[in-house]
Amino acid sequence: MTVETALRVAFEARAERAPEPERVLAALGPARRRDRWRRGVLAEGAVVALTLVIGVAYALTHPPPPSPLRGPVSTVSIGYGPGWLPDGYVELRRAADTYSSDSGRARTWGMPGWRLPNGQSPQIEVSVNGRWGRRDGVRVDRWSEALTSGTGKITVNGHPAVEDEDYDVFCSITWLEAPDLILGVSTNSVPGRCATVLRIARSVGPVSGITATLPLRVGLHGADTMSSEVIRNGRDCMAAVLVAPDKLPPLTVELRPGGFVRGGTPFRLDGRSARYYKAMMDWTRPPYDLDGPAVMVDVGRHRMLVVAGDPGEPDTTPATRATARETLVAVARGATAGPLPTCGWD
Amino acid sequence: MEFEEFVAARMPALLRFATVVTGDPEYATEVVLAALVKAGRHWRGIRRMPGPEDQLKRLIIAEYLSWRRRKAVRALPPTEPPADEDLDAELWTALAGLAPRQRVVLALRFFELLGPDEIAELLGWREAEVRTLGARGMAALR
Repeated sequence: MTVETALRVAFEARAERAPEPERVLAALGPARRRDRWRRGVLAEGAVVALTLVIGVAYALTHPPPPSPLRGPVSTVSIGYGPGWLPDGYVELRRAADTYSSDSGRARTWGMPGWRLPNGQSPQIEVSVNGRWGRRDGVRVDRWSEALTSGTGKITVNGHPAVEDEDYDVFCSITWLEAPDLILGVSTNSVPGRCATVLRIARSVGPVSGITATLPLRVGLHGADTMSSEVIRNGRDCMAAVLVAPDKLPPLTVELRPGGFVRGGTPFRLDGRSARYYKAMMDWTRPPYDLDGPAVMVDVGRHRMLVVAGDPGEPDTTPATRATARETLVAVARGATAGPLPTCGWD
Repeated sequence: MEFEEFVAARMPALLRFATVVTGDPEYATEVVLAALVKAGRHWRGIRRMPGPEDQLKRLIIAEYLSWRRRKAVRALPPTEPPADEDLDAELWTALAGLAPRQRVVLALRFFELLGPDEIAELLGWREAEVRTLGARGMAALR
């Protein structure tokens, strides 16, 4: 039997082991409901529309709560860092949670332009988080979650830790550095997998002078998470704020160099050139889900402000709406931007 | 065709395809569910495209290749290989050692019986790339 014939036979035999369609069909409804929940849609039909109107009005008329951010440019101390990394990695991203009190922070390293045969690019992330956070309006214990999802218990420098190596190219180690402080190291497609992660984790300690300088601020109040980051995107450096407002679909706000993306409907926003895109497809940016509506505003000095919304699900029952143009415009109007970041960390 | 009608009609074929691509029925369930959730979100656009099933297969392959969802790949070869199918078990062990994109190309070539040009069109890859992936996969299996 040739290899070609053997493959055909083996594939056909394997197809016969496919799961029962009824079982998967039964799981599809709950999976779609979880997805909608995750995407911030909590009510149906008109209630959704009413919630959107009330939520946006509330968010735009109430002043933001005390925040680590003061002014357009804020500097957040990362606090912890690795003493060792494999050779060849450069820093790509610094991020900080700029809304919640526990101020999660993270740094990411990669090898730009270098890809494995499977198409993946190696990345390393070191994160610093408070033990307690909020998700979908509910308080969560991140350490309990890590214990549940981990595949093995270990220690890092004497602290209790969990390892997650369920992915064939991914490994993460999370440990309880202090009763209210969780540190983590995760890698994707990095040689040595968990052995490399453990070596990095053991080298992590307090550092001073390592900060994230965040030039973009979003005046939207009432978010579960509002993560600000500065990220290297090819030759460019850009800032982004990822917002998951309570009871509203998620939004992404960016400050990046360059000009307008092709297409869109031109308009003026407070005297500035702007465009509205019913559905912006721009895959040149980091891997955010940005196939929804967006507003771009030229804020001068070669800076573009981008507010990207949620595409909605008009064909589902109940249908959900794409983020309204008025919402995008209001968020753009409430954002303040400093100078373009430089990603000059190295 | 409405999303629910499409899913009801094509679920068996999608599951068979995903099982061949992933090699693992449980992982196939996870991948198909994730792909259908995304497809439902964008169904208005997908149903206007020629060949909605091809769009679903693209989504299934994208989910499979996404590192976040590849945890079950390590489950290859099958956890319960039938005793009288040593060749099958040996072949799946070899397939498990291939790069995921090579496995995808071989599944499309020998299960879906697509030519390199059709695979390239389906996946949006260059035909030369498809040919190279297929040739390297076959060489490794031999």
